[in-house]
Amino acid sequence: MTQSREVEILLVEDSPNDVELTMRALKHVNLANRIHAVRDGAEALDFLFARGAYAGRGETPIPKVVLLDLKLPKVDGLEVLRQIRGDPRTRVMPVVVLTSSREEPDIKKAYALGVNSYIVKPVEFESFVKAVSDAGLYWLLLNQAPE
Amino acid sequence: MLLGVITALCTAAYLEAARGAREGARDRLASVAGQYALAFDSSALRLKAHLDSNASHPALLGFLRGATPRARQAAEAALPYRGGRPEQVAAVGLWDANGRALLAHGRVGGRLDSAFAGAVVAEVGALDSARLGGFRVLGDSMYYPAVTSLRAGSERLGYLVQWRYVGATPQALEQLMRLIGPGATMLIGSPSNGAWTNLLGPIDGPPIDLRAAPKPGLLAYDRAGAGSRLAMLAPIPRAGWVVVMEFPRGTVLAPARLFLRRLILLAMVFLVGGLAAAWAVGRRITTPLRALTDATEAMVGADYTRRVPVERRDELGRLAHTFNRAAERVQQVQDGLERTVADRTAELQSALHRLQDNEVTLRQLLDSLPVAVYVVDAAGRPQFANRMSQEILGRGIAPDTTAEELARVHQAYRVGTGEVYPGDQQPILHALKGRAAHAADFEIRRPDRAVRIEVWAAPVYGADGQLASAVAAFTDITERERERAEIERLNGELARRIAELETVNAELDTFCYSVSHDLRAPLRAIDGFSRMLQEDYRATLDAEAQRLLGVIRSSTSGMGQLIDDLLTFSRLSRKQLEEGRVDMTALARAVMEDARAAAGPPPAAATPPRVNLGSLPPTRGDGALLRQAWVNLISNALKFSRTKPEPVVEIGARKQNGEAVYFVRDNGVGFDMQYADKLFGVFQRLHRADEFEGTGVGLAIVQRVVHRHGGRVWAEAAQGQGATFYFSLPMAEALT
Repeated sequence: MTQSREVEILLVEDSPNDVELTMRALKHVNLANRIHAVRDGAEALDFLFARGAYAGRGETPIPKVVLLDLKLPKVDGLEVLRQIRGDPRTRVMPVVVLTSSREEPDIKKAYALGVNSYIVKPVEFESFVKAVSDAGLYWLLLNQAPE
Repeated sequence: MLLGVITALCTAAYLEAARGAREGARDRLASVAGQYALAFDSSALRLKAHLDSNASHPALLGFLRGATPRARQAAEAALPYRGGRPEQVAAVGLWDANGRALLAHGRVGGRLDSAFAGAVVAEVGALDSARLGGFRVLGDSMYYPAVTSLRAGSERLGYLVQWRYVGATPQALEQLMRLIGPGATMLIGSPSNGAWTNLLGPIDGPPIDLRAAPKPGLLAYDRAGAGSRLAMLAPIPRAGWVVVMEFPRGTVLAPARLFLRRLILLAMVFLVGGLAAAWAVGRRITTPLRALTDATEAMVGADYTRRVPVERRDELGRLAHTFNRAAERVQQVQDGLERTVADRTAELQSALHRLQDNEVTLRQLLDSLPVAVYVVDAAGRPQFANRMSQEILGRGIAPDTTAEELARVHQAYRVGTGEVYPGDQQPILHALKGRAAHAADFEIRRPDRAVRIEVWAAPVYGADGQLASAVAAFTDITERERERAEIERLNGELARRIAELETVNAELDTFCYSVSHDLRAPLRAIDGFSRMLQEDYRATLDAEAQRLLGVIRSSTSGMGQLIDDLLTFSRLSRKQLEEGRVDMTALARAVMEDARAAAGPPPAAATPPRVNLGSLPPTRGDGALLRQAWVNLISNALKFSRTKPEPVVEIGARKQNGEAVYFVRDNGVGFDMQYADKLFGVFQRLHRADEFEGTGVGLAIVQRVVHRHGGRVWAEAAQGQGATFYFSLPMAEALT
């Protein structure tokens, strides 16, 4: 929620419960203060490309990782992913699909659009926390983004 | 015939003899008559000369100039027998120029009046010299006048008339008859008045008119009462008389008749002798000829064994010999010919029998076919229809039709048009033009029913390469067409059902997605916030509150699992199979290791399960799906055997009936086989949840996976005795 600090994780999630759970999970690994959450695909794209409500964000560096829910209002997750991969600024940005869907078509489409990882959100809280924090840590700490 | 010849010969000989006799008689008659006529004529010449010497007798002339008594006397004295003797001259008269008798001497049998004298004068005509007149019968005697004109210078003063006897002395007659010959008659007559004599007395003259046509040749006539006569005429010119020599015809022809009789006798003798000789000679010639003829006829009658005896060395003998040689040769040729003909006949009969056998076989073959066969010749006339053809058409061939009319004759319609099949479009017509053809749109409208047929037609060529016939084969496709229509109807229905099913599936997909995404989110919230409650308010929550939160979280977890299993099951049904070679041994081992790892370390009291994993045949299929099957079977085996003191899980396989049968056996709690039919249903459980956790979906997943691979799944168990779950998969040939 803070915009003063450099955003390292962009969370695109329409469910406030999931947002809170995700934030709490990331907080466990001390990543929560560098998270920005948006509630739909349009807002996510506005944030990433500094337009609309985020037009004044200027030359803010792109996030180090995007946690992207597929089922989103307005613009769905796959369309967001397509636009991310279609723009030279975000083409190589790591995107982790974080969704409750296990449907094969979604997974295949996401990989076809160039998603970096795919995590099914488990129901169980501990598993959820572990999965989310693993993904965040991996992409933030281990994966060297190309500069 | 011979008799005819003899008769003809005899007749000819007789006619010739008769002709000779007649000619002899004619010559004799002509000769005699001629001689007599000559004799009489010279007598007449002498007589006339004598008479002429009186023509200028002075006494007579003187009296005529003046009938003085003196002159009369002198005349009377000069008158008697003037110019003849008394036995020759019966009377002498002196007539004036008018024929009036002036003086007479002697007498004749009848009157010599003036009329009579006139007739004589008229008869003798104007006289230059003496004339003789025709005979006259006066009284018993016959006379003729001899008249001399008495003239002085050129003046006729009267006539001197002598009446002379006609006749001859007996001596003269005898001499005459001797001269003529016996049987002959001599007639002298004067044709001018028809008086005739035979010098003995008056006689009837020949019964023909000699004045009209005195013929020089032989005369033949019948004399009344004296029979047939032959006569010859000779004129006595100086007297105006004729001599006729007459013979009885019989006398003339008698020698010819005698000749004929002798000839006939001779002919008879020759005839009999000749016949006998001819018979003898003929027999000598005809006997061998007959033998030859008989043999020839026998040969003509196809008897070639007959021979002719050769007994002579003449032409007949050579002929017989030649005949025998010819017959020998003919017999040889004939025998050879007959043998050849017999051989050929036997061959032909054999071939004919084979042909007949072939035809019978062919007909039986064609009749036994379940296909109708209909044959037309090259001109399109129907020749043959087999039994099935007659069954389908309801009748046999129509021999007098043409190919174009076949459709009409057999009431063949084009399906769906209500029109008779066009004659020129029938497959058999194409076949007759050398093209194979096929048509399935025929409908035979029989009185009892309509038959759909499918027709194939093809040309048939003879050994010479010429089109010999065309054959149409057809089958009754009524049932097939009906079934096809039924299948089409069912297919349509099926397509409709599939479309419905696809709609349902699509809805199910949406539903599953919703379940997957939307149901899990609240669950996750429930669990997550319960956890937050437990963590953040640990100090204020008492033990019961903690327990209740635990139940909430446990239920949430169970529901999550249930949703996951349902989604898995649903996905298995719709997932496209990605087939490949699957190493079942490795797969089973990996699953087993994952399962043990997931179960975590066993309780201290429990014995870890002993796992026997044999070598499993590889298979072909979707490895991910097969993995799901193994996961469920192996986790089940571990789960239901964990209460045993020494759990044993055995994984193995065997090959039977072309299938690979895999099994997972445990020595766990087992189950009652009476519930075996419920094992593979969704949400079906045979154990209480507090005994063994589970959603009741696992075996349903196993069954779905196996079924999708074309296999079967079943189980054997007993309560408390463990259970064995089997599944079979078709063995891929390339993998065995």
